[in-house]
Amino acid sequence: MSAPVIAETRLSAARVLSAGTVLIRLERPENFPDPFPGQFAKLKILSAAPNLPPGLCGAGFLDRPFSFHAQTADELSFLIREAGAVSGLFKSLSPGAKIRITGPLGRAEDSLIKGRDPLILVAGGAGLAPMGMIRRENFPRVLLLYGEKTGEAQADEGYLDSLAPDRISLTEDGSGRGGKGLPTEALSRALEALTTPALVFACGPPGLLRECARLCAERPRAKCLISAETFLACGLGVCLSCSFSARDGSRRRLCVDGPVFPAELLNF
Amino acid sequence: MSLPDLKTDLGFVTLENPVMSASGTFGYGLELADFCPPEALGAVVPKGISLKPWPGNPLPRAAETAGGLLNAIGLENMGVERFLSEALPPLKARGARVGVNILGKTAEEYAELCRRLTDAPVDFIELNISCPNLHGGGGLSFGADPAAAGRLVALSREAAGKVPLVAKLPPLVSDIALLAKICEDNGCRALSLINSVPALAIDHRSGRPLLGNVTGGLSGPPVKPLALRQVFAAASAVKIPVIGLGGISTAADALEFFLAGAAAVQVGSATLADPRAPLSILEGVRDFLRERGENLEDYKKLALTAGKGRLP
Ligand SMILES: Cc1cc2nc3c(=O)[nH]c(=O)nc-3n(C[C@H](O)[C@H](O)[C@H](O)COP(=O)(O)OP(=O)(O)OC[C@H]3O[C@@H](n4cnc5c(N)ncnc54)[C@H](O)[C@@H]3O)c2cc1C
Ligand SMILES: Cc1cc2nc3c(=O)[nH]c(=O)nc-3n(C[C@H](O)[C@H](O)[C@H](O)COP(=O)(O)O)c2cc1C
Ligand code: FES
Repeated sequence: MSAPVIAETRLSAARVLSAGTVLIRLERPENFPDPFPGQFAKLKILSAAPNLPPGLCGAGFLDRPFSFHAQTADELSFLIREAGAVSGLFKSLSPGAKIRITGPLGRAEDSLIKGRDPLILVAGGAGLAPMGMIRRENFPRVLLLYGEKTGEAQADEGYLDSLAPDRISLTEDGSGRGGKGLPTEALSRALEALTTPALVFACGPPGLLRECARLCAERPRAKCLISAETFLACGLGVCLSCSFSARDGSRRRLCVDGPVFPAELLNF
Repeated sequence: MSLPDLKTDLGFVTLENPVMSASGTFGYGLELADFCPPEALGAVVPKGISLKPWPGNPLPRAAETAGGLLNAIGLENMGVERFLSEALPPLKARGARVGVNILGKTAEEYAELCRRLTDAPVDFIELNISCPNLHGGGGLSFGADPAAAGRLVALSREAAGKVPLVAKLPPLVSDIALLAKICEDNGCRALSLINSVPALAIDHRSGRPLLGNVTGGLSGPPVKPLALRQVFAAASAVKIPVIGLGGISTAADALEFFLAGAAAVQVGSATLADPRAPLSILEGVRDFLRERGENLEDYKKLALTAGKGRLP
């Protein structure tokens, strides 16, 4: 794992995946260290108002954390769901827009880089973001359980095919492709059918994470990792805005000790 | 002109330059060294420490509000013993100047902390009598009460031996000049202000406050005008130097604080957005003065407080 860098770069492309979700690609800054699964970056849109002091800039005061979605030699990509003012700006950016990137931040999760057991990815909504970093060829099987509230929010099939051909897509209201239901219901069924140990990696809203942790706790063969979220002011380990007591009694900073944690360490 | 002279004489220590990191936004001083080497700053002020480690407040501990930041960390820290054995030595080994921000629940705890620090290689102690995020005494409960602040400073002064004391003052008190004067009279060698401003943010949809602690402290660009005013008022009231902070995110901001009467500045929240901030602010101040062909001391002569006591 290399030390993070701060660089100014440009948006090379932004593609709307569904209502409220955009996949952005950034030109990879020179010497940008390889990000690993679990890691994130802080992004700040500079072109919204390049000459205004921070704070007066339309793109917020603090940079916003986003999980790495994918990387190539030339590009870094992020999957961004509109959750408020700043995340909502990305969809209207044009190629060439200036963006500051600080990263890679957080701990690389070794067991998501390569493993001997099947990997079950459970993604709710924007929880799809970190799943793009998983290299399918490094696991015997990768199954994606992907849930959205509505069909409108579902990412398109072509994109999902490239992400995880082996998958179950569900919507809460049944308005989308793949039928009605929750990804955690699909997880429950998948765990029941398990004949070998498996690794579960979950990212999404708190309810989904809690349920994944509960389901895996009932099955000793399933180990559960969770990409956790809280408000990060610095992302660099200095402000303690993300510090919490883990179940083992230790103090953890989500931004440097995580954001991926074994489920049994988290208090839901 | 060659490089301007940025030396900053605080009376008890001469700093190479006037830009420090603010407590709570620079970790224990080394975490951001790749972006901002602590020894490059005038001084660093690590996270506030208490006698015993504190766990701090529940999550969420921070939220963004228009142009700035609301936080209620609740003074989570490693405690003075670990600070002295683990955090301080590597900072001093790098040649950094260090001011130690301390906090207790009672005046006696502040004094005890000062006693533990008397023989340590620290450049000053910053008494945090202004933290808005504590329950059951401590922090702001002292800054809000001039008599209590005076007693706390006097007790700490006795305990601190040769280590100079700086009182870190809150922004919202009925008479900042009075509080400043009482701290000076009881033995502080400098003042720093402002701490974050007691504040609240609520989510109109959920009906819930954004912070686990309900209320927090506001910082960043929105508090700058308030900070400038209080620095001006405090600097007008005392002879000891005033360290100004609150919303500084550019070199221009820092220069404005010198004009309000600050002898030095601290950079807080801006570092959380961009860890290079203290260094780029320092470079910006240097560039500005070089262009004007002035040293920092020349520029400070323009301060509104140059004649002292001119606050209307
Ligand atoms: C480690 C980590 C990885 C993340 N990865 C992704 C991702 O890949 N894709 C994605 O769409 N979202 C991701 N998020 C969430 C994303 O950071 C927030 O949605 C975004 O910051 C919202 O900013 P805003 O200005 O649009 O919203 P606001 O109106 O400011 O807030 C909307 C919501 O976002 C939260 N939020 C705002 N600022 C921050 C911040 N600095 N840190 C954390 N939460 C914040 C608020 O608490 C609130 O719940 C991640 C969060 C974390 C902590
Ligand atoms: C996350 C955070 C943690 C802080 N922790 C401390 C602290 O431990 N002790 C202290 O005296 N001030 C603390 N402060 C207050 C800052 O040092 C500073 O006084 C205040 O934020 C105003 O400056 P700024 O606008 O530049 O941030 C903290 C501020 C923030 C944002
Ligand atoms: S976000 Fe600042 S320490 Fe984690």
